[in-house]
Amino acid sequence: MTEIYRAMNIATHGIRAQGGRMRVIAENIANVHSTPVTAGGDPYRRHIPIITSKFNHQLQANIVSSGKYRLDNSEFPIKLDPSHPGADDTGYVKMPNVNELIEMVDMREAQRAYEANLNVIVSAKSMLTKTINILVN
Amino acid sequence: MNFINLISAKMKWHQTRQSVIAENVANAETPGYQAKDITLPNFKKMLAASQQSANAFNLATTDHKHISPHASYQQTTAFKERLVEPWEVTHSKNAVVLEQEMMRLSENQLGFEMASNIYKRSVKLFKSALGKK
Repeated sequence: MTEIYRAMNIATHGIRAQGGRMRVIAENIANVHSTPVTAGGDPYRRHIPIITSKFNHQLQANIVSSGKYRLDNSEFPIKLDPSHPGADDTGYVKMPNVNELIEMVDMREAQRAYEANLNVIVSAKSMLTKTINILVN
Repeated sequence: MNFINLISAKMKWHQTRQSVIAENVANAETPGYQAKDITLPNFKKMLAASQQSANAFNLATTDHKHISPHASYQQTTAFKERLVEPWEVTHSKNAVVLEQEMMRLSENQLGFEMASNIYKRSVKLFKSALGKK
């Protein structure tokens, strides 16, 4: 396997990992208003996407993968809404600890990282194509 | 010229691989489907066999029961299929990763481009022998 194919392979793993991260972020954004069903219960808890690195012997490089997410243990913000079925005795409802702004920034970051990996593939491919095209002229 | 045979074998391999990858992409959502690939034939052995047959006098094989002494180099039509080690298996036991397939697709495309360019070059070689520009 040539070095350039190897580079493309590593970048493809990167694309895959950023896709997995995007999935977790999408889950957070979708659940930004997921309130508890039972009185005094817990709402949706934010998931933190984890990107891990592992050495791959075939590629002789550290490849990334999106591992299992971790739960965000920060406190739930509370909102006064006595009519809500999830409200406790004092009339407060726990809201998910998802901050839309943070999710947006994370999403943009994942998007940029995805594009960076994609650019690695595109330029590796053009490098190889140029080398192959030496034969033509 | 035996290297032409070799290049055409490589191009044939790339063509078969293209269809295998297309099959994988088509089955990207099929439950229980595992991605396939074909193994690269031993080009080194093929080259050695073709050189050997070029140097030796060959017996004509006029019947299908006749055995050619250089049969190994003819064996290029069937490629060995193998299962790809997947990066991820979904709940429906589907083991096709689209990213992986796309990468192999471009790898295959580059390989084919290289082979076809080499072929183009070899044709040019013949043309110059024929006195054409």
